[in-house]
Amino acid sequence: MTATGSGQAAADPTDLDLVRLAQAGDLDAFGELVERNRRAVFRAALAAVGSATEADDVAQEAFVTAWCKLSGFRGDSQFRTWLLSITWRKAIDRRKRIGRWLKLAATPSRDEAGDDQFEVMDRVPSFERRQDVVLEGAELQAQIRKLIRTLPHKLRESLLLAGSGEHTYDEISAMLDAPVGTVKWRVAEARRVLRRKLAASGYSNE
Amino acid sequence: MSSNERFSRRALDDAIDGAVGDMMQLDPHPGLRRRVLSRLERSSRPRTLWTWGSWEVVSAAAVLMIIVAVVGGRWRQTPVEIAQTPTAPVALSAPVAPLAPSAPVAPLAPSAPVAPPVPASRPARNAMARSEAIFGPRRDRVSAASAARLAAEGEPVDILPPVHEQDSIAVAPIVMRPLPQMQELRIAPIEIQRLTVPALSPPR
Repeated sequence: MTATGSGQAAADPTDLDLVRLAQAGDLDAFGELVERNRRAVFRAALAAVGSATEADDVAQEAFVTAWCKLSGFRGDSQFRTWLLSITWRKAIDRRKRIGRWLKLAATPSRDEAGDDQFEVMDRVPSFERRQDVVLEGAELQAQIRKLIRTLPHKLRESLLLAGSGEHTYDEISAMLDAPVGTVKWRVAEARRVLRRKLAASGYSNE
Repeated sequence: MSSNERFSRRALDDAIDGAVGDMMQLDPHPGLRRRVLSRLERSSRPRTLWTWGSWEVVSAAAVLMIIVAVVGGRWRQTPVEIAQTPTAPVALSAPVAPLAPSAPVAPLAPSAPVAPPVPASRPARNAMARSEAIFGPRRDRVSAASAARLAAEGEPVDILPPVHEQDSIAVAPIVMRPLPQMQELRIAPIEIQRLTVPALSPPR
């Protein structure tokens, strides 16, 4: 939905408008909220559980929980931030339950779930990458994914959430319950650790 | 690309971004909205049915539980009748007196034939019957009747007094005796005696 003009602002309801409708029992309004936030919710869950299948389940649970708790949402914060916090808690619970993150982190969903589970167009990265990086080959990428798996939880989560392309630092800060400065430091630290390990593996002169 | 090749810091940063992007640039399964909404509709539907029929279901379950409890309680209070299985009839030649503590023991005839509960055609039973027919009744069989008979004949027999049943086993009350009074522990004062060391003899 996009704004078509100043006189048609009502045609493009904000999240808060949709929340009010949903609180009154409008399931279609809640469906619109699901559509608007499905990607951010899914990727937040993916950063925590490391598996697309699990992340999809977490996303469903998060939306259902949000619907059940919607009457308690007062609008003090943005709906998206509130929803992402619910998602993150659900994802952490799921990760604790399955305890398989360490195995799945290095082999993300496309390796695990198979080609038939995802639309090919959904996998196309949404941001542009430099051509020379793409040409560096799969070996370095695989090595980096393997090293990301070995990062501590806090560094890995911050790095993945920041690299998802869907979350601002404020949202990540709310999800991780850490100040924005701490989140930024964790991202930088994660990159530094990865560079050091890559240098130790002979990929760099550092 | 070989792992021996060197990369600049910027190239490594770009490679890290690419790897993270590959891991995270995924979308949920198509139809997430439809699945969520159908799940919400499914979860709200039974709740309505439950609200309508909840009182009937709860009251019926309560009545059923009360009936089960009452019937179960009565069933437990009824005395349990032990079914007596028919046993093989034992034919006794002399009536056996009921056991009484002071009643004299009825004499048993040593050669009183006792009908076996199993057919007498078994070889063991036949062998026993033949041995008694040959050697006569065994005299050394211990029984109250044989002991009385031997005592009457004048042979030395130790006749034990009849065993009386213990009327009841009374539990003696437990009497807690007071512990002997603890004596106060007194520690004698330590006296430090002067240690006198004899003088060593001068070395030779």
